[in-house]
Amino acid sequence: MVAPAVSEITWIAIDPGDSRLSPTHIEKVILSKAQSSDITLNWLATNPIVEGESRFGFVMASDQDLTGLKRELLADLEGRESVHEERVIDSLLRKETGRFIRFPSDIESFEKHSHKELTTHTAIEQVIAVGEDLPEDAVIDTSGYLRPVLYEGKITLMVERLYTGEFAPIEKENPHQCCGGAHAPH
Amino acid sequence: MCEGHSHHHDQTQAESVEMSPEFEMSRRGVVKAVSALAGAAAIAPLGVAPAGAATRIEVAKQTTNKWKPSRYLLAGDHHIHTMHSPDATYTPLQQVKNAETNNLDWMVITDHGGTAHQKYAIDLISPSIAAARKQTSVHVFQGLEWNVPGAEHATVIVPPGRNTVDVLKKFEGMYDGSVLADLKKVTRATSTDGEPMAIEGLKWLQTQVTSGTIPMALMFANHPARKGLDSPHEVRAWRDTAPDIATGWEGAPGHQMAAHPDVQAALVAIGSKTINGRGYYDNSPGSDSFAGYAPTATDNPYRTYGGYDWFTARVGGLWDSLLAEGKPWWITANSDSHSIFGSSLKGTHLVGGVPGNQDSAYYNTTGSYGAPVDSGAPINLYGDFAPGAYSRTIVGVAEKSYLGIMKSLKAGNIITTHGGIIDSADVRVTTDTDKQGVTIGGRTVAQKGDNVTASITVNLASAANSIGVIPQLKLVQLISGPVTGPVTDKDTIYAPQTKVTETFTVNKSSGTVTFTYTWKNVQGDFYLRFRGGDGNNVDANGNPKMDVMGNSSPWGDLWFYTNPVFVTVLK
Repeated sequence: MVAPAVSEITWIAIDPGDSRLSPTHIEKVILSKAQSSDITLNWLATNPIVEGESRFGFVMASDQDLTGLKRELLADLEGRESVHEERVIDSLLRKETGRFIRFPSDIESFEKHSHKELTTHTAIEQVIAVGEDLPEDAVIDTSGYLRPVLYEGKITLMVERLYTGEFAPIEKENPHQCCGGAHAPH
Repeated sequence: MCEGHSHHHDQTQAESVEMSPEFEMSRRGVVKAVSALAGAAAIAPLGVAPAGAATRIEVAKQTTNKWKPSRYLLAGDHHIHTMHSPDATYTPLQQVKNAETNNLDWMVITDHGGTAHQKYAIDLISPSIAAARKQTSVHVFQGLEWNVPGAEHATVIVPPGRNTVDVLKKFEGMYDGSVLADLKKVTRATSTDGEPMAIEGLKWLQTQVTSGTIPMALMFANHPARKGLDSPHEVRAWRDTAPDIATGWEGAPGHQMAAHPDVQAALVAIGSKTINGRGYYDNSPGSDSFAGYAPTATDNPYRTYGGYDWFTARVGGLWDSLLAEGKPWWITANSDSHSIFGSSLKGTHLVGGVPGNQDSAYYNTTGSYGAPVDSGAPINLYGDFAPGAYSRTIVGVAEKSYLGIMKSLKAGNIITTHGGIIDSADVRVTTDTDKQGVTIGGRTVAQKGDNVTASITVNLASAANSIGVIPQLKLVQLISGPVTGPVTDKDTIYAPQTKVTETFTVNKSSGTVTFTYTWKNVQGDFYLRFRGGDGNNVDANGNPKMDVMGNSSPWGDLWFYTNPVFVTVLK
């Protein structure tokens, strides 16, 4: 698919006020708020506001007007008009750092795919298997959860081999959280 | 290897039979060397024969961990949980007996720090540990798994004494990241704004030692690469702030059963979508992770390699980067035992009735789950080993006592083993200037132009491990690199000059085997260390491969690692 170049999109950025909230929590808030407002986000990405600080900015783009969503999110997240907005967007536009939560895709529901399907039908530009060459016929079991990142200036899905022989993204939806009973299966 | 130095090696496996030392198995199944080890290096009578008087003083002043023909080797584990952690199952006595069954000589009980632990659990566990000590010959340390503010967890060890509990409780109350987050003094337990509190905590512990309140305290970072939280500058800051306390990290994390196919099958059987990484290393970069650890096409620091943490497993990686500064930083291997694979015991306060899924809401008001109950059948969802059943931290000690063990941990006279791959190993590094030489964790001296010889004598596995197999050691690697001094960039991750200098092949299956290597005409400071394994799951360069999610039997590849020896060339 041909995704609009990121530079051709109007972006907004928010800077969550409560830094105790983890990025994975915030992204759920944003997705749920967008859904309840009937807004389809073409892009939603997160990247560090300032390198070395545990604060993340969120950047989003849509064919629809995002002004209302932005206002609501800022209220919900006790956020503010990001003083870093330009910087966060700029870093994304220059393809330096970023992790993509939503990105343009022709695939409605992600399941098992070849790397060619992913790079042809989504904004993902490359699929890399860490530590080995990805076989041409590799099956990538996404389990519906993809968080590609910017790597070497490209939107990249990093994958690893699973016990099934198939491959899966290295970012899991529910990794082990130590302590407090979370060693349990999901 | 040292740049520009000529060297050669001398494999003396064939000769090692007649030169093998005598060993006796102690009651606890550990090996005590009782006679002088002969290596390829000439054996000097005890007492050093350096080149000149000035050098003799330098040798005496600068060498540490002098090689000695006799020492006790005590196996232990510094990372063990009980029902006084919000996510673990067993009574303290059950874990002590588990350690005893697996012939451990020492253990540290390290329940998780946190508000409920500090408020309730310490007072509950302290008398339990005191009582357990009377029912075992295992040295049972009371410790803490500290939530290092801004970082990962760490074992804190304090020897038994009048003030032990008081010091641990105060320390946790003031400096545990989870406690501080509950008090809203830091954003999150792991957020970077907590980093200065970690330093303050180490300074406070140091003060407890210098004031004589406690004789000693040690800190080992646990599962350091798991979530990318222990940035290089934090580790260096701990080490440099409190060199008497901040000692090292887990070269290999616990939870080694987590990715075993039987555990995966048990997960599938209950309809879980979870796929475990070995050591529960299944994370990816998060908000508090160090950006420099982001996965690349070749490396994923968030996974284990041959069961070892990437910081340690990767030759020329972060561990080597720390050692290349010429400063001590030691590795250990532990169980992190919470809930043991195949155990039939389960807690009585479980979320959804799932074994291992302890209900922390209950713990948070009590500091204890109470004793587990027998479910009547082995539970294969559990990803841990009993203390000593797989991972062993073997310490060479001069004195069999709590303080003796801690002093040797501090001195770095430590090897780590998985799955009983070897019984033990003795390393001796001699120079033309220091003919007695030093052993693991030590520092020897040489003069420019000296030859330096490193030898390792491995006592091959003599007994079946906990799955009834006598593992076969196939290879031993000598890893070395120049000491290049303190780094300017405290976030330096790599030591590119550190390499596998030599790989030795083991051609026998029992007894002892000795390998030696000589650097000729040395000109600059360097360090060396050994590791070895069963040869399984290695890449073309002999390095351990990344462990596969949901399919990494811990028995599929076994490694031992030694700590390093430093060689200082006198100026």
